[in-house]
Amino acid sequence: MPTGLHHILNVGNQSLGNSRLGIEVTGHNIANSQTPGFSRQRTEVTSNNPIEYGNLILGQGADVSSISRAHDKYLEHALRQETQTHGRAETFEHNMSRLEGFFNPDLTSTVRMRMDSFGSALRDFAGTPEEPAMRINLLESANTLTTTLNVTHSNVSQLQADISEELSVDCGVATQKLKEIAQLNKEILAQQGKGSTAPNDLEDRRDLALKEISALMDVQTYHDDRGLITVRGPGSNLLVDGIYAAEVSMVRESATEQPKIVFTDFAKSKANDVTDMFRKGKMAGLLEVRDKYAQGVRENLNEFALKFAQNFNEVHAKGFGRGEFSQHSGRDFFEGIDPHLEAAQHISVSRLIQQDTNAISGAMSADTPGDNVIANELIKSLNKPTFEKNTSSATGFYDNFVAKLGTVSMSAKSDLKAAQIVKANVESQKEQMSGVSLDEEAANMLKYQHLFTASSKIISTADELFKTVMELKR
Amino acid sequence: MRVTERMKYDATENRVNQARAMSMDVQDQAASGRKLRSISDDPSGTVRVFRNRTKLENINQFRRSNDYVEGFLGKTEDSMRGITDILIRAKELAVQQSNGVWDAGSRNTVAFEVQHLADQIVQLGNSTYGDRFIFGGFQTATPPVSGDGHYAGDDGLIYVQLDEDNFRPINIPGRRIFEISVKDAGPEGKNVALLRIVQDFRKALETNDKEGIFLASSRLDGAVTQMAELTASLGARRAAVQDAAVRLDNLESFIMKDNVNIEASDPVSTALDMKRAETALSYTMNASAKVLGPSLMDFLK
Repeated sequence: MPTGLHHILNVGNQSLGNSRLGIEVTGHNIANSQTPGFSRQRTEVTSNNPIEYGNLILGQGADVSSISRAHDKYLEHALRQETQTHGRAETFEHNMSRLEGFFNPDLTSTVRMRMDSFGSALRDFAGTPEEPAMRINLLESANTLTTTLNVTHSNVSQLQADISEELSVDCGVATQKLKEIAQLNKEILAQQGKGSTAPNDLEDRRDLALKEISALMDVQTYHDDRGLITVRGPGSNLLVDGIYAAEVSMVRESATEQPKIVFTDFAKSKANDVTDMFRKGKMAGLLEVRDKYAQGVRENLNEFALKFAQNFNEVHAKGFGRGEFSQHSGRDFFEGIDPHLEAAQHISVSRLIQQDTNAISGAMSADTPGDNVIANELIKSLNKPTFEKNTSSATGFYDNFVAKLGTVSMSAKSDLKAAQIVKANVESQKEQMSGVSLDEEAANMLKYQHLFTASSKIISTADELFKTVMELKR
Repeated sequence: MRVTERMKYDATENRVNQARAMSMDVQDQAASGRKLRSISDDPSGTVRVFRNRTKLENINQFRRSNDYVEGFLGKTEDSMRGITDILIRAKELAVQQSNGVWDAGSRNTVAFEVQHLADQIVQLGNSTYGDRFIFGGFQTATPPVSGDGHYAGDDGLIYVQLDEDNFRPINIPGRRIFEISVKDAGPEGKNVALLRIVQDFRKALETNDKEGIFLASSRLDGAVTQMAELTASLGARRAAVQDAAVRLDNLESFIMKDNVNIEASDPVSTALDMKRAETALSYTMNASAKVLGPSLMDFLK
């Protein structure tokens, strides 16, 4: 005898429970309306299987079959992709503009400006080589030029060091997030083992962790049939496999080389050098600036200093000086330009000239105080095309690499704008799908409240029916 | 379309940020007066600005050089004119004294004047500009003409850069002035020291040697011609320097204009942009305040 007053009480009771659950889920949604990565949840209510009652089919009320989250795998994937692209673009733009800042046109202390003043001082010297003031002026402007080269070099290498520092922090964050994903995998597995329905909040948190790691590097994810996620990183290296996570760390092999990024796999047996494999994400942007553009500028500066000084020394060595230096030629003007070392870092005016400006040699022959033949040749050597396969002068070479830098930085800016728009777009699509709307929740609350009231009415009605039946006996 | 809470707040944040960034950018431009603030604003423009600045720096330098060279050439010309005048005076005396009417006594008096002229030539030959002896070639630190008329300088031509790729000699090495080529070669070969011609003339006057006086008059004539030619070439050089100076002025104003076009922001359009950015920002704020307004929650009792 499946039906009767108890049955009515049962249906009402279950409905009461459903509406309470509905309000609870609504409350959970409202509580998380500003939680990043949260997907709104809904109770899935299904009607119970009916029973046969005589020749009637009688409904059995409704039950909450599951609490599901509003979630779109495709959007989640697209968002991860855009987060990777955006992460790279943002960092790349930021650091490129720092790098180009060292060469900004509104600075008056750049190598370029110092070259101009040096040329001017050299011409003054060539005009009156007898004049001690001109020699001192030339020495001072040469000192300023070499110091500016040293400073610019150290700015660029400091930028590289800063980037490495940031990368090392990111390595820590990445390791942490990978661990978190593996831990969440483990918890999800455990929850599913208990036979409960989808662990929505854990999945949301795992999605968020994945998004955060996507901001750092390129990742691909694969779901297995147990609901676990496998994560592959740059160069398809395995980062998370089930409940195991790899470690991301930084190693410095030698003082002259930039530190490398390595993945250590789960067994801790093998460390893979993946420095060159990053294509997306913040770390890719950092690495690209550090290893390609900053390094390129650094090498350009070294080449600039080396060839300029070599070329200048070559002409200068032909000249004779004044006073005690008027009998001999063969002196260098610049020193510290070893092709095996970084010229821009070490270049300086020769110690001899620092001590006595009479060692500056502008004369073609011995004992000729007014002779400026070599000085004039030094002027001409400034414009001599010794760079880029003998097609551009020192300043031409400088202009070219600075312009290239500016062009890269310019396109980085527009790339970033595009990436921002696309990412914001996908984010808003995802929010449309998964976000919490208070209007909606208010309506839901009302809905469940009415349902609750109605359900309790069924119970009280059933109770009255019981009473009526009980009173029959009296 | 579902509009969710985070969407509203994120969109507001984004919009306000964008409007603020735009407003900041325009304000920065107005405050600095520059539209070229980083290389990436205009990479090729930046390079042009760099090159123009080099040119401007060079123009300033060339202008300094030009002033110096003009002074140097002026001093040279003055000294040479002085020497020419002396030679002309000596030649006049020679022509006059070669005439038979003068006796030994008067020739002796003239010889005294000629000695004085010779001293003046030495003095002019050792003229300086600044601390430089102008007729010494590269030997600018020591007097090029000794008391006996011997030339102690060398043949160095001092070139100075007056313009890009324009190096010009500014000096006349004294050998070309103080050593005169003469047809009647003496024991030293074809060249005779200028001063010796004058001294020979004085000796001829003292010894009342009429032939010697006559020879001196023809040699002095040759010397005056040579000086006139040299002085003329100097005039051409001065003209070239003045020419270069005018060219530099023209070039300078052209380059400055070019740089202003690339670097400086236009105040009128900057002011308009500022107004626009300000309006955009206040509208965004207004609109955002509406978007973030009440939800259905507020109306449920």
